Amino acid sequence: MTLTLAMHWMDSDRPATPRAGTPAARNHDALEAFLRGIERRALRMAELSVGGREDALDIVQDCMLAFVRNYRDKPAADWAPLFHRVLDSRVLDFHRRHQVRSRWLGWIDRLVGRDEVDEDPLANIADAHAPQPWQAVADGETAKALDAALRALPNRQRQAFLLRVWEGLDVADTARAMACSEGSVKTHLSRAMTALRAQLEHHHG
Amino acid sequence: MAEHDEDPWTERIRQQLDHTARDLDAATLSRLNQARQTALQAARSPRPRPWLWPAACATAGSLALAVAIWPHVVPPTVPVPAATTQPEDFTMLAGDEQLDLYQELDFYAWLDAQPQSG
Repeated sequence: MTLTLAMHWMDSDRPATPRAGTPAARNHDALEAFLRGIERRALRMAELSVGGREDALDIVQDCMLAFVRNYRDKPAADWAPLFHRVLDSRVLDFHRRHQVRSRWLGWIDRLVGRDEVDEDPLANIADAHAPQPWQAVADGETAKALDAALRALPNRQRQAFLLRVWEGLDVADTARAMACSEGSVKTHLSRAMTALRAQLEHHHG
Repeated sequence: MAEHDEDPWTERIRQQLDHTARDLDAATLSRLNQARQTALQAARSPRPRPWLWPAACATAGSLALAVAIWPHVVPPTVPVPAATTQPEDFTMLAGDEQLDLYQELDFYAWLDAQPQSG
C-alpha cells in the first residue's frame, strides 16, 4: 500500500497551480515569456534545418517539453543557450532517424527493383531556368532567396549564423548551444557569412 | 556586441528573418501556442524523481527478504508458563518450618480441630 502511494507520488502528473506572487509563479511567468519570445525563431531555425513545417513544429514541441523538464530551474540568463542546445540535439536526432529510414527504404527499393520504375533521370538535372537565390532577390522575393541561401549552408554554419546574427547570442553562449569551442563558432560564422554574401550581397547592397 | 551587428548587411538579413517569423500563419501559431501550454503544464507537474526508484525497489526487496528469512533466523520461543508463585509461597520458603509441615497442613488442621481426649 505504502509503496503504491510512494510510486504514485513519484509519478504524479497532476499539475500543482503555483500561487500568484510565489517564486514558483514568478518562475512560471518568466518561463512562459521566454518560450513565447523564442518559439517563432526556434520554429524557423528548425524549419531551415529539417525542411518541412510539420517536422519543425514537432521538433519545437519536443524541444519545449524537454527544456522545461530539465532546465526550468536554471538561471534565466542560461535559458537561451540551453534551449538551443536542446533544439540542436532534437534536429540532429531527426536527421539521424531520417538517415536510417532512407537507408532502409533504399534497401527495400533495391530489393523489389523499384528504382527503375520510379526514378526519373531528368529529376536530377539542374534546371537552368530555375531562379537562383540572387535572382529571387532581384524579383523581390527576398525571403525566399534568404531561405534558399540559408538552407544551402552546411548545418553548423547555418546554426552559427542564426544563433549569432539572429538570436543575438555571444560567442560563448553560441559555443554552449552548439557544444563546440568558441574558435569553431568563429570559423563556422565566418564561412557562413562569406557564403551568404557571395549569394546575396550584390542584391542587398 | 559583435562587430557584425553594426554591419548594415547583417542588419537587413536580421530584419528579413524577423519578418518571416512575424508572419507565420494562424494554424502554425496555434500549434506553437499548444506546444507552449503543454510544456508549461509539465512545468507545473512535480518533477519526476528517478533516483527514488532504486531506493524504493531496494527497500521493497529488503522487506521481502526479511519476511522470507525471518522464521529461520529467530529461534522459536518456548512458551513460559504463567508464574504461579504467590507472595505467601515466598513466606513459606523463607520460614524456619519444615516443608513437610506445609505438605501435611490439612492433617494438622484436622488434628487441631479434634476435641481434646485427655
